[in-house]
This record gives sequence, C-alpha cells and structure tokens, in this order.
Amino acid sequence: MRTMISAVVLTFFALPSYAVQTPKTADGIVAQADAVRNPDNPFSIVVSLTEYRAGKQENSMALNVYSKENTATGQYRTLALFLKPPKDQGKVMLKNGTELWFYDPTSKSSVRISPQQRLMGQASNGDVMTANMHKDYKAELAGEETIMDSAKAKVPCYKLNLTSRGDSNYYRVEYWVDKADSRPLKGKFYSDSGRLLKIVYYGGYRTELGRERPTEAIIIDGVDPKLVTKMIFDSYNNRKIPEEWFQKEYLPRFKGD
Amino acid sequence: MVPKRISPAVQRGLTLGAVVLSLAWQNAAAGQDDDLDLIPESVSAAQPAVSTGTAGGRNSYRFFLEDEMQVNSSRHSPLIPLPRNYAPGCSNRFTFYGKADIRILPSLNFTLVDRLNHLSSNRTDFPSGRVQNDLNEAFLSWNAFGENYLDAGRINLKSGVAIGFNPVDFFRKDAVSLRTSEDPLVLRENRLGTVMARAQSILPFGSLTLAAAPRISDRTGLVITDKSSFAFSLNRTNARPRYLAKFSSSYKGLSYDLLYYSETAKPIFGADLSRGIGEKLVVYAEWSRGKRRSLSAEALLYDARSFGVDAKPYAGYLPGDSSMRARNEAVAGFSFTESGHKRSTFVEYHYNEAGMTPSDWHNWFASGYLQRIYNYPELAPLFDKANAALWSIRDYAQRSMEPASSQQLFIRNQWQEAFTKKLDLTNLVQINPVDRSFFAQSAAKYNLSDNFILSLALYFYAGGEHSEYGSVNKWNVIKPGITWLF
Repeated sequence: MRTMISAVVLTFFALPSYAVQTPKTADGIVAQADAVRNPDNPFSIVVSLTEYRAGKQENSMALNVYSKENTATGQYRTLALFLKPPKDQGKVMLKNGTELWFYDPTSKSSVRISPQQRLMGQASNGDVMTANMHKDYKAELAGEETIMDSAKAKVPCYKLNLTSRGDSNYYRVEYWVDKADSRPLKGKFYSDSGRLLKIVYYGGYRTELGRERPTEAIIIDGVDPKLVTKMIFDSYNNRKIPEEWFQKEYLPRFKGD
Repeated sequence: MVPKRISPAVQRGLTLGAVVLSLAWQNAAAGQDDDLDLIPESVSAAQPAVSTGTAGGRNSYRFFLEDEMQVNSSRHSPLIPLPRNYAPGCSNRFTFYGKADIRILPSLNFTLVDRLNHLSSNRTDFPSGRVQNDLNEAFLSWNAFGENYLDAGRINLKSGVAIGFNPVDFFRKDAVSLRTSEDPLVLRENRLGTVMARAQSILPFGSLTLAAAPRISDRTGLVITDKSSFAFSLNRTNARPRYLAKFSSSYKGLSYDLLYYSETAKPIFGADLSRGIGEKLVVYAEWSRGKRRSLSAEALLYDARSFGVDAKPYAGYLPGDSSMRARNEAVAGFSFTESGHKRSTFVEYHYNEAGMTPSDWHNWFASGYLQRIYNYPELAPLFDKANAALWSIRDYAQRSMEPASSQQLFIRNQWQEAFTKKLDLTNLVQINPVDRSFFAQSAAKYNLSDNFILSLALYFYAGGEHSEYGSVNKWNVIKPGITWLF
C-alpha cells in the first residue's frame, strides 16, 4: 500500500506542474510563492498605486520598476522611476541591499535615505511585491486554512508564520499561500512591537512572463484601516539590467526604457 | 492491557471541547475573511488610474509655472546698514520652467533646462519689472559603449552627500542665479550649469568621472555675461579653467566618493562618506582641503574683478586674513527618520576654515560702532562704500553656497503629510554656535491637486545686534506662492 502511495505521489510530483513540484516544507512553500511573484530573470513592471481613504480616492502615483536578484544575497535590487504625479516625475529611487538612494532630477542631487525613510512613501508598498520572503524570513508552517481571496472565492491555503532573519522591513509576517499552485494570496505584516502594519491581498492572477502572476495587490493600512492602497502591475517585461545600473552615479542617467 | 473505559460525562466533555475548538478554528478563519470587509467596494472595482503606456521613456518633458511674492519686514537702524539697492521691501517672481530630455539617436541624448523669470519689486519698476532667463543646462550626452558616457555642453555637476553645505561640490560657486529660498535643497534646483566636457565610466564596483571646464570670459559681451535678460552668464560659471576627477564606490554599505579638483592650477582634495545604521539612521561626512584665501579676502577680490570695486580705502574696516594657504571645509551629520510619522530630520555641523571667525565678526561690527560715534555728513559717502564692502562679504558667502562663519549648526526637518494628506512641511534652522544667533525657515506646500501646489514660506532672523543673524536688516520674510505643473 505504502509503495502504491509512493508511486502515485511520485507520478503526480513528476508531472510538469509547478505546484506539484513544490516541496512541502515551510521554506519550500515560501520559495515557490516568491517565484510566483518574482520572475527568475531581471524584469520591469509599471506599478500604479492609488490610495483611498474610506473608499474615496486621495492620491495616485505610477512607477516604472526595474528589478534584479543579487545572486549572492538573494535580495532583489530595484530601481524605481517615478512617472506620476507631475511633481515627482523623473525622480528615481535605488535600493541595493542596505544602500538606498533617492535622486531628484530638479536639484540633480542624490540623497542617501534610511529604510524607514523609504517606507514613508507609497513607493515602499513595492516591498510587498519584490521582497524575497524566502531569504528574508524564517518560515514555519502554522497549518492549513481556507480563506477568501481578494475576489471573495474560497481557496484552501497553507498558513505560514514568517520571522525576520534580520534585515527585512517587517519583523513578522503571517502568510497564506494557495495549496494548489503556490500563489501567494494574503499577507499580514507586523512590526517588532507586534503592531499590525499592513494587510496585503494579492490578486488579479494572469499569465505574465511565462506563468501566472499577480497583477494587483490591495494593501490595508494596519494602523489606519480606512487607508487602502490598490496597486496594479502592468507591462511585465524581461529586461537586460546591467550591474552598473545599481550604482548611485547611474541614477541621473536612468530613463526607464 | 485493557483500555480504561471513558465515562459518558468525560465523553460529553471531550465532544464539547472538540466543538469549541472547531468553532474557534472556524472563527479564526472567518476572522481572516473579515479583513476583506476593510476593502471598500469602490477600491475592489477601481481600474488603474495610470495607463500602461507611460512606462518612462525616449523623450520626457516637464514644465511648470510658478508665481511667488516676497514681503520683507525690515529692522530699524541695523548696526551696519544695507546699501539702498539691496533687498526690496516687496517683490514678485513669475517663473516658467521647462525641462526636455530628447533622444536624438539611440545612443545620443539632448538635455535642456531653462527658467524664464519675470522679476519685479516695489523699489524699482513695479509692476513692469525685468526679465531674466537662466539657461540652467543644455548638453549632449553620448552613450559610447556599455555604461561609458561622454557629455558636452552646460552641465550641472553636483557632488556631496550633505544637505546644508557641500565642501566637495566644487562647481557650486556663483552658480545660483536666483535666491528663491534659503533651503539649500531648493537652491540646488535653481543653479546654472558649467560649460564642460565630462567623461563617465560606470562599472559594477564603482564609477569614475572626469570633467574639464574651460575659461570662457568676455567682460563686455552681452551674451556671455549676466548683463542682459537672455545672457548665458558664463562669467559666473566659466571664469576660470577647472578640472575634476571623481571616483565613487561602496564597501559593505559604506558609500564613498574621492575627489581631486583643480581651479587655476590650485588643487583641492575631497572625500565624502555615508552609511546607514539600522532602519532609521544615516550618518555622513564630507571634507575638502586646498589652498585658498579667507572668505572676506576672496569676496573683495571678486568685487574688484566683477564690479571694479577698489576695497583698499576701506581695508581698515574689513575683517580677514588674506593669506593664501591650505584650508579645510568639513561637514559631519546624520539623518533620522521617525517611524510613527513621515518625518525626517537632518542635523549637521559645518566647518569652514575660510569663514569668518569671532574676531573677524568683531572687526565687521567695528565699522558700525565707528559710524555711530562719527556721525558726520561728510563721512557718509565713505561709510556707505565701507558698508557695501562689508555686506559684499556676506553676499559672496551666499553666492558661494558656503557658511559665512567658520562654524555653523544646521538642522532640517521635513514632514510629509503633516496633519493632512496634502500638506508637506519643511523647517530648517541655521545657528551660529558662537554668538547663538539663528535663521529659521518654515515652508509649507499644500497639494491642491496633482497639478497645483500652494506654498507659503516664512523666514525669521534672530539674535543680538552684533550677531551674525541679528545684524541682518530683515527680521522676517513672508513668501506666498502657487505652482502649476503641466
């Protein structure tokens, strides 16, 4: 009997489906969910963010984000070019490990900023997309839960408790990953004092760069739940991103094309 | 071994426990679904506000119109009076700003930044005023291969990591064409580039920049000097031949720049460092050392060269050590971000060895005492010229973007979304730690919409009569303004 089960399992696990290849360890589940959010190769996306308070639109912005994994650390390095609103157009933000720079084309100066300073802006919401959860957090499988996704469909999920390995922006994350195909569906991000900072729903899955990927995220502010940000991800593109682009001196030359 | 029979009461208890646990589990899962209730229907249904076709690009343009008034409140009888043509009581600036980045060929870009200003004041010809066009930048950039670039034209080349004073920002002198604010970050937006050729190689581990700016001088030419509305003011940016070599890199989170600069064959060395510490703190330092005269001696030479002013008759009133010797400029600072609010504070200590020392300030004020003692009409013309020379030192410090005093404390706080989502506040203070006088600026920007910004800035100068900031003839300034971005 045990041999039959093994055979069935092996047969199914040998199928060329991403989901069934998933090793069912907590870290494995998180790694597979990371792969859903983040393409293997360097890529760019256009991110539009709209902020609502009590359902009423307050602010909106758009960024062209270029992202590439640092193979040595597993961290994603990002260059974000502000497209809108007009007062921010042309500004560039660089995140390369712990080095964060903000370039303003009007003053033509680059200012080094702290991770906390970066989190002040809406652009920081990009963190919830390109964060490498597998590298940044220790994962523990907390069980299985059926939750409703952002489209209000019931989806059986793994629930994982993630704890920061040290350099991440959030101390703890509760994370729900679709059992069937490793799609991340929801995350709750906490500070070291245990304060809930963000609730994130990943949705709008469609095929981009060879597999199903989220094209929207809805972020509820943990401190002020009336504040909700909707992010739309569009124009996924594979990009050749040279290492040189992650130098501070490159920022004035970055055009996002 | 026979298993012990479970009593009906215990069975009931276990069943109840199981039901309670099951309900608790379901409630926990339902609690997760409750989070969805926090998402308003309008958010779920909303489509992206930005079309996907705006992914940056080949050509980019930016324009705005800005109008700003300035109303000065003057002090009564400052110790050293300002010359009559300084600082009008009320003025207005209307600016059209345009920036274009145009891709001519796949590897060839053209950048143009221009500000067309209409300036008027109650002291001159209000409201007719005058026009001043500032061609900030106009240069071609050729991406030769890889990440290697050659740029030529009028370029704003900036260096340094500090906010209030940049010892390694060697092209800053005399480059600010209109002093639209006292905030150093704002002043950087309003500065003229230098005509130069620049080569830059950006490598995976750092970058190397070489720049050469020729001397372009024609004291009488209306196009080259700043004597006509549409002149290029090259006399301000290209009065001397200048060369710069800069290497930038980082090591384990420590970013650094090493610089070598030469102006009229006088070398200056400089370096800057920055490093993040934890989530909220960035520390930085900047330093340069090279031969130069004192600020006051340079100011008088500048006046002599630019305006043909002969300061010798007033030398007795003027502070200074005019010797040419190696002098240091340095900044040490940190920025701190508060986690609960969108507030960041920069704190810096500025050291300018060429700046005015306490004894220089004593000499500076000595002229004022003399004027009060010898208040004879026949001496008035002499004192007027002496006052102009004294104020020209401070004016020169502003033009050079350096502290007038040898020591200064600088604090700048920026608060995004202060009290309301649409309001951004910036407060800064410059303190002379020796005489304890200070200058403070509060600026508010209210974002009416994505395209319209209302602004209000207040300046305040405080200190004793014979202190750096207490001697400024204004004691406060109000500047309301409006900007339309399109």
